[in-house]
Amino acid sequence: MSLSKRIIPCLDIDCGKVVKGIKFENTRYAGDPLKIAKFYNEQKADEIALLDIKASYSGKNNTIEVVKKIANEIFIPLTVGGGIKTCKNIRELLNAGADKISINTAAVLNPKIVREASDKFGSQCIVVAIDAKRKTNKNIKEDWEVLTYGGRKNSGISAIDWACKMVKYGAGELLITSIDRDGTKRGFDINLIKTISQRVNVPIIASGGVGNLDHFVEGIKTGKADAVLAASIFHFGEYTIDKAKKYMAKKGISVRF
Amino acid sequence: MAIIIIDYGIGNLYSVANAIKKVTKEKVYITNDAKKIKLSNRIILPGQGAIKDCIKELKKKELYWLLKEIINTTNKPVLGICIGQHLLMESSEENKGVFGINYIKGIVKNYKNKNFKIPHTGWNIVYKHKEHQIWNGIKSGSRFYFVHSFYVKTRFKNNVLGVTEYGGKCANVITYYNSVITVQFHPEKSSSLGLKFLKNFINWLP
Repeated sequence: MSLSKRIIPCLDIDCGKVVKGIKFENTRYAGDPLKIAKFYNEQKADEIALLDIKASYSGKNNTIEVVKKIANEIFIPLTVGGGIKTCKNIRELLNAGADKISINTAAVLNPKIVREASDKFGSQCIVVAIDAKRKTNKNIKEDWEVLTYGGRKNSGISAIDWACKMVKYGAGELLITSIDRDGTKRGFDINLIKTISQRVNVPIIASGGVGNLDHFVEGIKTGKADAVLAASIFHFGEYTIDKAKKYMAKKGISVRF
Repeated sequence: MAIIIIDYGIGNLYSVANAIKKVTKEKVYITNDAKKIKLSNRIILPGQGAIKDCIKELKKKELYWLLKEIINTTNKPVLGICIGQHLLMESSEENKGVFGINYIKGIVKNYKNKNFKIPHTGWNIVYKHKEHQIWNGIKSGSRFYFVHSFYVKTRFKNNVLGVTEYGGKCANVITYYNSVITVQFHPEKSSSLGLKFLKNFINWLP
């Protein structure tokens, strides 16, 4: 097992500034995406994800400037998401230095965008992000629904079926976020991650709910995730990426130091 | 005199250019201009997506034969990255089989292993197979960033500089012949060791 499992810190961006993660050990990193990205890079983050939380992507959006700044100085994969709708948007972000583009709501509204984008730019740069919410009906077997618009809108689509469909359409990777767990610090929705990971043959990034280092281990060992994404656990300085990797290595997970 | 990144409309050329600029003061151009390519002192051939499309675009922009000519008749150092590596081989099993530029004797193969996630995505270990200047300051067993679904197997072991295990296969992830080096992983995305690799290429005088 030589391919390492990845840790991906996620920066939530609003108007060109990192939000949510303001509380570093010292405040000099506060808000500046480049400084925060550099800090994570020094800690051996395996990738960096940038999410434009207002999803208000437009050509003039600050996100492009943020991507340019980071890509000029940090040489690890950079995934960018939030409100991306067209191949033109994707082209602009790739030209700015992004490596992978994460598509969420736009894929639900128009699944063909995934096929078109993966044909044009290659599957390796198209990540489909799925926000999934557990269905509460006890009479049916365990299932999840895809939500759009940052978890605000129901789509009626089964997350498992959707994951399989998106892979057929050319997604090179899936980013699975549990809306039930997001922000709760109770850990990933392991059954959700595991069910999808076993059904598809592309790498799975688990997201939503990390509160301690055991959650990473659980997501990878039990959930069969290939990568784990987290925001607040790193932003607030509770844990460093290095510490997380050491812990995972101790639990027998292959990581990159 | 400059370093050229060949632009045939495919691949993330800006990442490569950014990384190259970080390690050299020489001029770096992203171009498909034959004159500039001929006058350059080093060429980087990137590539992403499907190999058939890459060959189609290279041929459409008349870069295919130009590249072949440069490689076969000059000593200009060329670095093929990812699909750029695949393009320099004899043929590939991708897209139901295609022929490559055929400079290095090797085949691009399908992993054909359902127990492994494809594409092979992430940081994997590269072992040194043979000493070469490209390894300067880089330890055997270092990790580099990969994202690919097909892998290279050369006919001759003496073309191999580095290997990586995945999907039960031992891929030839760094290969060379004369002034051409090919690499499966993305040095431009492999942090400080990747930059070192690119710097070694730029300092290399074959």
